[in-house]
Amino acid sequence: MTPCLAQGVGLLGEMRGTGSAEPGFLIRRGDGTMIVVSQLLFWLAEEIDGQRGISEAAENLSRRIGSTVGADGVAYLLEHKLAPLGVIAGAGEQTKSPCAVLALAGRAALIPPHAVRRVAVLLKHLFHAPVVGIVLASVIAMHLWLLHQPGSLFDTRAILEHPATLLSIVAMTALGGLFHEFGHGSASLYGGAEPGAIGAGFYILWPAFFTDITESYRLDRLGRIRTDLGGIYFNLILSLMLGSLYAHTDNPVWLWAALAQDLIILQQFIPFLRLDGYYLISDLTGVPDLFGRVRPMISSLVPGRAVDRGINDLRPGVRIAVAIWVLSTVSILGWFGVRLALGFPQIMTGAWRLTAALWASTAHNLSSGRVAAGLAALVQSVLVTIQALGIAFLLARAVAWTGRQAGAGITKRAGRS
Amino acid sequence: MNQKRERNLGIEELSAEMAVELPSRHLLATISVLGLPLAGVSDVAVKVDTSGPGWLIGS
Repeated sequence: MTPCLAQGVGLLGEMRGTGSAEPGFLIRRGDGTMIVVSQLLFWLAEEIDGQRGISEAAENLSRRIGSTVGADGVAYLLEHKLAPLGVIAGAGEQTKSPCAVLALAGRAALIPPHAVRRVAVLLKHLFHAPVVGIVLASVIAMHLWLLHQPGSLFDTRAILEHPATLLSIVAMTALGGLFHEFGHGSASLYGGAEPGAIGAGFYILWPAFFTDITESYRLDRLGRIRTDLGGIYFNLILSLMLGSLYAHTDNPVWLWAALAQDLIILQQFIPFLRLDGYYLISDLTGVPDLFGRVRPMISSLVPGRAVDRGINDLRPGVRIAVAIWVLSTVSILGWFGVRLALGFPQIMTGAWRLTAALWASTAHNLSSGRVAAGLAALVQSVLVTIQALGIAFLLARAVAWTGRQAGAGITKRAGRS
Repeated sequence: MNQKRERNLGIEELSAEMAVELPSRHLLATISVLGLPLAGVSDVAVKVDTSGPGWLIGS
């Protein structure tokens, strides 16, 4: 039988800016999934054109690599390496994608790729170096001016006292999230990688917007970093626009909305969750799956154990950077998890009381015609509920994961004895 | 004949060839930051002295 590449498979070439000692080569599957393979497998995929048989492919491959790979070797590579990843046509069921740690769930596309592209074509000009320079200088100047304004800058008491203000800030922050995503998409297109859809989903349990920029793997390191920072850059632009509105109107709603963007930017730099800071570290080190390296790294740090292949493949400097990230992430998420677990009863009791009070406030305000106050209380009650459910969900997953790990360990030990 | 081609790659060597699916990249923007100050925490305030950050702008 003559092997053939699956429909939509693209052979993209060498992956640039990776942290691995050995070069990797990118193959894009029809569904947009990216696969990284060794040079030998990439060259083999190039030989698969639906016309050459396995023997001819083996002969050509052998000539290219300067060593002999027999027809049985090529058949093995096709069957055990490329086919399970969906690269070969008619190869049956492909391997299920690995379940990513702390990944976005319940994804639904809101804006299709062609519409994202249409907007990104216009917005990508914001990434020209002179424009970036002007924007950053303006943002610094505006913040110096804002910080020079007298009195309280970001006061949640004042925000909570004015329901319309609260609703405005919630709405602008949500819209800001969408604008942030266009920042990623535009930066990706500026670098030369097509952005995918923009959509919404749940991160742990918090609502979140997302942009699919899987295609950005084909960019060089600088292009990927630009794509990572594109969202934050657009937050800065939004902050600049909101600050300008405050300067013209003197209405503190715009001031608080601008400062909310600063809080969002700070949050995005957290490198321990799959936020922009995580992807930034991933691209600076050239390691695309940092969470996938946690277990191999910890295992490799245990004295007397051999260094895992997933760690051994990394360049020495990258290995140190990944070790620092792994140890920091495990420590901080572990500490955070223990704090949440210990405080869980109080958190849930407090959330329950607060939600009940906010529901009563919603009903009271709406029944007496104060629509804005009623809606503001409703929004707050939804936020409190999401926070509480999110914490419960996180802890339940952590307990289930610990149980599975313990069970697997017991089974392994029983098998050995 | 090409001397380099004397080496024959067996199945064991070929089995070490790398082929990995990369995780999809979905860059996120959550509104969870709103939840922290607005979900009933009513005593969070960032205040700036009326004279402003003099050390920063030299006033």
